[in-house]
Amino acid sequence: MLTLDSVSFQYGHRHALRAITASSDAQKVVALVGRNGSGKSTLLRLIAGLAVPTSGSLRWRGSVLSALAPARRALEVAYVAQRPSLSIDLMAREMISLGRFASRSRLDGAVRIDRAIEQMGLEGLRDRAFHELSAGEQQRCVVARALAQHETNGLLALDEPFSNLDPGELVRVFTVIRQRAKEGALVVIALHDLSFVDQVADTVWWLEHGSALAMGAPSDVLTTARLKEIFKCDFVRGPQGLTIEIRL
Amino acid sequence: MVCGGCGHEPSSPTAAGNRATNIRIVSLSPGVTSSITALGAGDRLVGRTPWCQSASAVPIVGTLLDLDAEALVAVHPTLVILQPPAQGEPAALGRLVAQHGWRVERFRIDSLADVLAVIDRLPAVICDPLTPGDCDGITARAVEIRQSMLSALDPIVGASGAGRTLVALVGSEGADVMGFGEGSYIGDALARMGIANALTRSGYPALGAEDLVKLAPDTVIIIASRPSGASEQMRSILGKSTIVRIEAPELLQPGAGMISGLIQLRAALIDACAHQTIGP
Amino acid sequence: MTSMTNMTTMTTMTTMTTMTTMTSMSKRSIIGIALLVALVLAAVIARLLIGRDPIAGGINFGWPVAEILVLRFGAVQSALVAGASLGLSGLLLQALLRNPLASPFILGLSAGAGLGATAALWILTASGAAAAPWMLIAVRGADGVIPGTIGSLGVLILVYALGRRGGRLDPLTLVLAGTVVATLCGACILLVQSLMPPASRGDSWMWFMGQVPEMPSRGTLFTAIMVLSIAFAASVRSAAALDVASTSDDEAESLGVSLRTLRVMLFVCAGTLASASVALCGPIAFVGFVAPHIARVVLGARHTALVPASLLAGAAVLVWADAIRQSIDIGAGRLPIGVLTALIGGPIFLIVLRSGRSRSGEWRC
Repeated sequence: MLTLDSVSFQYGHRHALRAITASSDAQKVVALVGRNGSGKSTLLRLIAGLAVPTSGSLRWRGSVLSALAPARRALEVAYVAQRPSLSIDLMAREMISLGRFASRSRLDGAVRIDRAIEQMGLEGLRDRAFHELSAGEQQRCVVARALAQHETNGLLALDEPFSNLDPGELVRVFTVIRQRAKEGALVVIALHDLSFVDQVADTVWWLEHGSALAMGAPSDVLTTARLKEIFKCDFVRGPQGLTIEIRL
Repeated sequence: MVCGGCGHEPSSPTAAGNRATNIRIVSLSPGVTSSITALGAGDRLVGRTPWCQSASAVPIVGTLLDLDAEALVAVHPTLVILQPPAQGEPAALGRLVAQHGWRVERFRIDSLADVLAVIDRLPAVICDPLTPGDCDGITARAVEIRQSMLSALDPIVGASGAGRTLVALVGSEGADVMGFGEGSYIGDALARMGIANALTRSGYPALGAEDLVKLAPDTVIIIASRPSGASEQMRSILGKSTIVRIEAPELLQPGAGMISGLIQLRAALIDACAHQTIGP
Repeated sequence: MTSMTNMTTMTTMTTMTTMTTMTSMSKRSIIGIALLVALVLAAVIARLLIGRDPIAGGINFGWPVAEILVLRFGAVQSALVAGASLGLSGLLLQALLRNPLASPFILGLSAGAGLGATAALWILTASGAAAAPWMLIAVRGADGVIPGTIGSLGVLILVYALGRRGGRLDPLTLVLAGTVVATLCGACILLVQSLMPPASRGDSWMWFMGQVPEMPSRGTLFTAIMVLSIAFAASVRSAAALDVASTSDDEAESLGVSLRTLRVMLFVCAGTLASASVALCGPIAFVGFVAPHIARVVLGARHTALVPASLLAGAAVLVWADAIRQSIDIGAGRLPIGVLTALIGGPIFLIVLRSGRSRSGEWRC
């Protein structure tokens, strides 16, 4: 269970997040949406325990993640950064196996790595050099690393992990996310592309200027009227989800 | 009779012939090397530092702080001479010396008194008492050089004519010049000759163009280490001073070997004195 | 005989630690390590066999007489220990800074050692006869090691304090701080030098080009071997964490590495290794930079293999450089070791600079 109680965060004098209050149980997928600069990445970093809120409290299963030692915290939450480091000299499989660092004394490491590779469709690439892969392949590797790290009932915090994926790859990742949620995880995922929110997420947290604009089920929160007000363009809700209407 | 002449290079060190071949000297001090050469005993030098220009045919065995131990052992010295550095001698040299039973002699060379002490002490250190006439020969040469040096350092008549004098080392054009202050061997030499040193502080200060103008020496003696436009540059900065240039790199390695440089310096100073008194 | 015991101890510790990590290493790694070991052995043999005739000039080959063999073996010991220390120090710094151009030099450690030694010299000269006995011991102790080590550790602490931004150690700020401090130290050294008589300046200059002492002080050698062994063990244990740390701050922390602890530990190891090497051989450039790159080319990027490999590569580079300079006779005596390492390391530095830029387009930090 993830609870945020009036969480605020400041970079110097800049207020990135203002009094966010929210909560979610496990076995759910939460989508963080909002315009650029609305605070999605900052919130995800706080959820991953990489920064401490300036005020308010953030708890996962009762513990304050930012107070845990990194080695302990890595067993609770797996994080994918918005701009992961890409110029790493390792082979793809070696890079993915970094996900097992915190739990390297356990014997099921190889199994979990292979499962993550298989889930992300990367079998053919394992022995290629990571920095030689295409942008989409690299992104899938980074997600695979988080999946390899992720323990069954843990937290998965993903910051826009789909920017470079083609439709087929997108479907694969969504399927994996929903699968993990079903097995017991809580997935918090920041999304740019609103077209898939309806199908992927159980809950939407919508941020605007660092504040919570709305929270709830996708169809309740992402109304076409609100969307037009914030994004200044026309949305249409169809059977499969939202699409943008471009009028030329 | 051993007589090598002032500052001349010795013949090949291995052609010692029936000279004192049982004295084999490694000198780790350029000043001492030039002194040994000046005393005509250069043929017994078997090792030197790269800075000992006065004995260029002698093998190099490194410096005190970067010793080529293998080369040092290969030249089979019997005597090692060095200038004790302020931070103490490297322990490695001590171990080598102890292992091989070499003699070690130390000479400080900072002031003029040190230089004279070198001339006095060195003959007994480097001569071979077993070769008849060797010690007498070298000592006689040392006495000769000492006389020349002292007479070169005699008070100059009309020394006040030179006014305040700066002796400076000029390297490349545009760079700061290096002056010889009080307490340095050149400073001492000026004092003995009755010349007022324009630099009243001790040390070897670097002087820029502005410093030179402020110092306003009446006379400048330039020790040029290589041909350069140094004199012209000085003249343009110090129009009113008398500027004399001497080619005397041996003055930079204090020891018996600098006698010819001292004589040049004296001649230049005498000229300067005369110049000033004749002038307007 | 104590030197033999020292070497045996070091070799045994290295082998034992290497063997326990070899189980997690691939075939490529094992072949690579074997290759580097062969390179080191070849260098040692070369150094023992090459001789110069200081009298007649010219190079000769052959097993030397006992007296000379001791000297050559002494040089081999100095070069092996200093080279290995520099190689490992360079690897740790490159990992810490995520910058393949990093080296002990860039953090100003060698300049700090030089300043320590020069300042001590000057203080002693200035006090002259008034120098207190404790000052003499402090400055002269163990070949002037003490002032040099004080200097480099002082720079280490200063650069570490300056290299923090927002309470965390920032790689870019660290490099800038190191460069500035190194320049300051260099300026101070020149200042102190200008106060010395012209005749003694030449000697000091030679010190800054580094030496490979043929008769290293027992105490210094033993200390350096101890430092190397401890740092090596610590680095092997942190090898997996080093791989993770090569990503980015956020990613490394989220994967379970405590960057603060790792950095403090690595920084201290790297600094102490560099200080020990300077104490033994003076400041030698480029070995700490080049060794990790050689190791990477041979073994890839996993630090489990890179730690022993950088150590071996550093030792190989320095012993080879010493062997090569024995065979160069241009009539001015033996070339300073710093000249050789710069001639070898400089071009490699430029190659890495070029290839690094073309590959990723920008340096990651």
